[in-house]
Amino acid sequence: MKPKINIDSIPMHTEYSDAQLLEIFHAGKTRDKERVFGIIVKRYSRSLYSYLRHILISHDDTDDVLQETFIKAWGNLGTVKDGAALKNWLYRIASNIAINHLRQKASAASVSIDDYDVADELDTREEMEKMDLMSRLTSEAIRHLPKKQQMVFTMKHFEGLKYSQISEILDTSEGALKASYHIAVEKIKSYVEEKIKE
Amino acid sequence: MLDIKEIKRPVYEAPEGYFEELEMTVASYVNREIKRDKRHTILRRLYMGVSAAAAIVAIYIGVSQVNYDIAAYRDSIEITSVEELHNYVIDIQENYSSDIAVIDTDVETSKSATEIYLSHIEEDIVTDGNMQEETGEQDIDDILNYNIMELASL
Repeated sequence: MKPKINIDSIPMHTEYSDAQLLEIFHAGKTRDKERVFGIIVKRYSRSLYSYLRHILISHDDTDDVLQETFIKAWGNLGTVKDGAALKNWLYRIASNIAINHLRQKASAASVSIDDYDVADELDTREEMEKMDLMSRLTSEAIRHLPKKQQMVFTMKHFEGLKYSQISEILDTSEGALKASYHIAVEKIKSYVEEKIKE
Repeated sequence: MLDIKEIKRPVYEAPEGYFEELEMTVASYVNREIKRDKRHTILRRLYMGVSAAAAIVAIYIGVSQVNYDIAAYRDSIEITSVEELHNYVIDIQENYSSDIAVIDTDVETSKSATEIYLSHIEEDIVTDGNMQEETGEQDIDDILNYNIMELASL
């Protein structure tokens, strides 16, 4: 029999695994659920922000999508049984909401989602100008990729996710993801090299 | 040729205190949701309680109505029995009367009530007359016999 975990003894910066947190969430009372969710938000808000920011560029858009991600996660966390899948599940929600968000914006601008330039907004342009040359070129190169390639590259290259995880998040085969990542890397390298030569 | 490791991660800075603010925003949302759920739970239980009470009252009224109907039905059976008896008597009377009427009707089908009455009187008169006639003949015989007897005794 597993020892009963006292939720009150868990500090905010807990070392409990996702699986243990989910176990408490499923077994605990409302107050425990609230506390566990607070820990999950704290644990994943930074990495999700970084991932979304690479896709959406704008802080305001990222903030909207991130809040919506956690709201949706709160409503459906009870359906997640496997603690190991929690991170992938959160990335999946964030990816879907981000795509829908971009689709709405592209639709409002009457362009396709891959033609929509997220960096057109003034505050984003200003922020880009503050970056060093290499970072700015990399960011531009990523923005020129199709949205799915952007996601694959960001998750693999910057967030360090495995193909098996990305496969689960984007519901795509690992083979297709590897090909997509390879194409993305080649496009980015080519773009950056070209810009440096200029 | 550019190496993949040279591709630098673009650093997007989040505004200062953003993550603390985000955690608070999400926490307050979760708190609101919990309160809303509790309210819904209370309302749902209240609604279920009221529904259950209404169902019990409805069943009680239904049962009472059935009992009342059964009692009323029994009374009506009793009343009906008395009425049936009464009707039966009336029926017999009517049937009896009608039978008499039928006899009268059979005999005097083509005569009116007055005619029937008059015919009865007529019959009586005839009968009386006959009787008187019979009585007269007898009297004559008796007188004759008496006279013969008297003559013989002379």
